[in-house]
Amino acid sequence: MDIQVTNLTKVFGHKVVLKDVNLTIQPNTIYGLLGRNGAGKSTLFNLLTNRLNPTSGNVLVDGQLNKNHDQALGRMYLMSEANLYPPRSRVSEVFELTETLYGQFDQQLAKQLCQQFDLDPRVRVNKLSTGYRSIMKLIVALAVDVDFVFLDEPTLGLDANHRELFYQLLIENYSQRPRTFVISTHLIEEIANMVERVFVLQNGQLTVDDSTEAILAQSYAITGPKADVTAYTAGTNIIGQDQLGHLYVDYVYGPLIADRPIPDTVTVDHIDLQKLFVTLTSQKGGADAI
Amino acid sequence: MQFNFDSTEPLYLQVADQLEDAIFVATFVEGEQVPSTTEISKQFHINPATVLKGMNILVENGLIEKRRGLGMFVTHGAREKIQEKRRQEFYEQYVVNLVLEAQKLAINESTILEMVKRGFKIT
Amino acid sequence: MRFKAAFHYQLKSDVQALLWFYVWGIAGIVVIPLLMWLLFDRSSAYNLNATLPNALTAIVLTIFLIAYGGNTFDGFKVLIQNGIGRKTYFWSKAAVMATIIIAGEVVNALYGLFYVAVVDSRGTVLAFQGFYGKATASPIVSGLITFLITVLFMFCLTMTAMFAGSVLALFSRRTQLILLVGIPILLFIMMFAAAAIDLPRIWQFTWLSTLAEWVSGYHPNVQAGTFNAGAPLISGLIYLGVMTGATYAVNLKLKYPR
Repeated sequence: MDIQVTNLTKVFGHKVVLKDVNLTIQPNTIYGLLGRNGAGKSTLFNLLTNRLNPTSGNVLVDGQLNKNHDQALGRMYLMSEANLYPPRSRVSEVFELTETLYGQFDQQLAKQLCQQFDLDPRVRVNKLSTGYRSIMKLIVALAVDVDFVFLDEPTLGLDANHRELFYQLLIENYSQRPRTFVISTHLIEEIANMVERVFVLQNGQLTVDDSTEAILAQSYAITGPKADVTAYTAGTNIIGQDQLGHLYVDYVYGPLIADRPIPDTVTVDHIDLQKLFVTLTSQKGGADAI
Repeated sequence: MQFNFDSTEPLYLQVADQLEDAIFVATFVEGEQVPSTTEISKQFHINPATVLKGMNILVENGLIEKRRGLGMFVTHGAREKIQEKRRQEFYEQYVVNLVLEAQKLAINESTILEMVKRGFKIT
Repeated sequence: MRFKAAFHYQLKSDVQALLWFYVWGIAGIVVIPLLMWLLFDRSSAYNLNATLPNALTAIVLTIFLIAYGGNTFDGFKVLIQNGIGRKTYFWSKAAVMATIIIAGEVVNALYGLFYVAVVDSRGTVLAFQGFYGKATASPIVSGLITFLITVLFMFCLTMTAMFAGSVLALFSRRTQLILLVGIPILLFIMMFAAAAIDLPRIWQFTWLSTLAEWVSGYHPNVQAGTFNAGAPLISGLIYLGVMTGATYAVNLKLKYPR
């Protein structure tokens, strides 16, 4: 019960949006899909759900090619910024059509979530604000019975209270009905502790695919006088620098050189996911550095 | 419970530490139920698998136990175990270092004991 | 099965839309003239027969089929959002259209019977009655054949609309607009050009008219209602087959965002 992506490439005109992406999406796991604007996150989601056909490469759901394959496609739900529902239909009608077309939908839960988010199900989709349109689609995503839920910028337009509520509901939903969520967001700090595994896309290429724990375990900030720091980090994968007066910082992603003694003047700290991501993706030609 | 997410310690260890501390200061008393994985992960937005991993450390150490269908409960003698463990850590982290530092400063055993006694008088 | 779900969803929403079309059609063709008469023209006696067209339901149905058959992208969007692929979308939509055509033609025939019986006895029950209404000795068999030809004709028309709509759905809104405005202008210019060079004389037109005669089953010494009924059935089926294949192929190319 997994999704296998092999050699996935998507070209729009002359622009290579995704380049030879290989990854596996495992069952019952919460993923973070991180990438800067234009890195190819939405295109990856659109290819997974066959809204787009790839230029080359495959998406296999349980070994089945997803292309026009209703059984494979019916096990996934993509919540994206785009509104693909009939604009004049009411929220309750969107719930009904989801039930009809997916064959499974928890109306009870949807009703309860509407109350929690204070969303009136009688309102028409085109009358909803950006935030409430996100909320409507989030409710659908949580109430529809599928194995893979893809959330592309799920908190777009949501205020802090609604985001808090959403994260709680997501974890509750995940605990009650374990399944896979792949969340793409720019608010990395808010999901950092929820995601078990992380994908990082840089300029259409997948540069990180690992467990959050393993990623953080090998992300370091080496601080001290410049000469001592650079001597210590020589030969490691340095992904960025900072300078604060005499204090110099090298950010390292990957193993440190184990038998090299740490100078007294140098401190080795771990960095969090947000800092790692920003450092990784702020360098030019970042994809080649790893 | 409170988590310091800036800490460089892995999150599951923080979960374990926080739970242990809560048992030690009797936020959760022996025989009482501790919050479920879901409750903790919901409240702090931590992946349930991470919370579970932290809880399992406490289970392994015999501080909490699973009662089928009911949840996790603080074992009897948990607080004592924590105290024992922390005393051991106290010796390793403070006493050993104290002696090492004292030797550097040429402070002998009786002087240290004298100092410790003085310390007890203040508090 | 997902096909059944896709079929049910589209049938429900399309039938709802069609009912609104009927309401608006009746309002436009019957109620408004009545209101006009009430407001401005009380001098003459109101005559329902004069304003009620023989083809009332047929006009509404045709407009509906062209509009909803052609609208491809909206349906595709909803289905792909709900995990239903292009193949099922195409076949379920075709099935919905076929169902609506058959039901709609039954309504047309019933309305035709009503019209002949109540409004004007010189009216027609079926659209192609004038061509094939006396194709065989038995009026019932002839009626059935005429009904079949009418249905087949509507299948072809709707599939053509679906083809045009699917091709349009491949392009962005801007390109669509250019095509929708540009093609009629181009045709208009071509018409003027054709008129200028004495159209009936050129070979192409003769060729076209021969084709039209063959497709409709016309023959030189034909009498009203006795056109060859086999010809439109065969040519219609061939056209429908080719058009279905082409539309299916175009549907497989649908994508979001386009």
